[in-house]
Amino acid sequence: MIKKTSIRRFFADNVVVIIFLVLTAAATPVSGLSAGYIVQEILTRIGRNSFLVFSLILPVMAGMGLNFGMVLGAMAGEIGLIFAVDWNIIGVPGLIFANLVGLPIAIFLGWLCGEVLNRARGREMVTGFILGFFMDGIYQFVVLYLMGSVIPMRSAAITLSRGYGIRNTLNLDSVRQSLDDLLMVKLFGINLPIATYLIIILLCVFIIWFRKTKLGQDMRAIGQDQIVSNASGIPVARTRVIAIIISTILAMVGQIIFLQNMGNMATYNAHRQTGFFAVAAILVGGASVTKATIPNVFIGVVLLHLMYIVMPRAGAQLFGSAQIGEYFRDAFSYGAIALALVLHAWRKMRGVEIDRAGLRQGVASAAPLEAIEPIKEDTL
Amino acid sequence: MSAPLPALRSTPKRRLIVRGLLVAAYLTLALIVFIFGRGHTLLLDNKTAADGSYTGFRTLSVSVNGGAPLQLALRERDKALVVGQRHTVRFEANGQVYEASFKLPFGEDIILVSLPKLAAGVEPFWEPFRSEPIPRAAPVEEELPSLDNPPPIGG
Repeated sequence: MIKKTSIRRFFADNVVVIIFLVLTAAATPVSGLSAGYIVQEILTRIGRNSFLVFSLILPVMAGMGLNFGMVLGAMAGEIGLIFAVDWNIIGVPGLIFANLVGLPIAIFLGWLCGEVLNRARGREMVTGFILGFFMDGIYQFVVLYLMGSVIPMRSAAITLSRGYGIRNTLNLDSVRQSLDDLLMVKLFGINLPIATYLIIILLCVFIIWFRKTKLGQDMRAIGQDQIVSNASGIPVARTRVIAIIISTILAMVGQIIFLQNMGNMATYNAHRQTGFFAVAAILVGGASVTKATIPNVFIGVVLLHLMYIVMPRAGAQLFGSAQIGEYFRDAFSYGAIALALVLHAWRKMRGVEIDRAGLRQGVASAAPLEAIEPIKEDTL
Repeated sequence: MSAPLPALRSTPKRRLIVRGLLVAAYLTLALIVFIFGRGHTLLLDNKTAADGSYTGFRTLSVSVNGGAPLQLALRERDKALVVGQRHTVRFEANGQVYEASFKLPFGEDIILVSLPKLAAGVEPFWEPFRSEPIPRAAPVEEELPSLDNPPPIGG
């Protein structure tokens, strides 16, 4: 009986991961792709995307849910890259320059986002999501109208022919895969971007270390109960703002790593899906709105991207159209987000019910019989 | 329980110093990256002067900063991407080897390096290259950035 319950519990806890595993396991042989190709693609995409997904861990730890406001950091990274390309700063120095330009912007946007989210407690995710749309409008105004007119731009190659505004697509040749190529190792015919992996490992070490610091412990306490944390002297609002600032900075760095690997940038669209992708990845990896760990990130990136790689080919093989596979993968990515949110709400409600039932039982067993009897009589 | 040492105690003054040092490190790093990471395009030219003061080579092999050699025929031009300001050009023509080092101006993106000029000892053998914008006959309607159709998620 206990075994049956634990299996059910395991299934309920990992339903998103299991669905993705089943889907990809079914689609992989149908796709007809070779194992070598899939492994190469997965390893490339781990390097490209993991950093972005890691940016979600700290806000979850601080009880702020999944930070859809991470697109603000992505925008900061893109502005940094625009300036790196404009000044023709090449290779890894170009990436460092982009980070240095993006850093103050990310800190400011993170602070702004944190302050707004502190005024929308309990509704952080939807607020962050809408804040991303709001900031997208500001970003477009800055990049489309201010750059080249108010903000001086040197390179005619990246500005629109009217003299101001940045072109639709930015060629990132000057920094293209400069981090990946810095320490590329070929093993059994598979390219491994070691430098990118080292940065990701450093970030993992940082997160593990950060959890043990005073600030990290404060965040965990706030994530569990804000009222108790406040009563015990933890500056709740300030700590939550710091969590969002760090998340925004990590999203900025992640977007720069992502774009240097891609080699070009859709100036007005590149950041739009960043939040969705990262949230989908971490949820597919088994995280929830209240709990996210480092393994969740890696499992999520591998599973989500495995589906991205095999689904279009599987669609082409089964239905004669890769487009159908693309529909599937988009539907399942968004479906994963919806399912995880519904499951979270359901678990929360079930938890409340269990707590309430436990409390009733506790009251019933703890209260002396004579104390209960008069109440019964009164009510009758 | 003993009180923390005065030197380790976080005071406003100490905090100010740490923040100041962080800002200084940030600015220094930005400056270093900005100066030493800036790229320039070298146009390596093998053309004869219009006034005949120097003549191009039939063929030559040129390398920049010890990089892979480029082959240039007469009246040909090739480009090399370089980072930083100080560079060395080395080329071989008619069995002779020529080499010169030079420092590029920071603000220039494209530099024209005339190899026949270098061989003839004409200084300076390089000059900033600025192409004149060609006036358009009629204003071309450029498509404004599309805000629709974002790329598929995950890239």
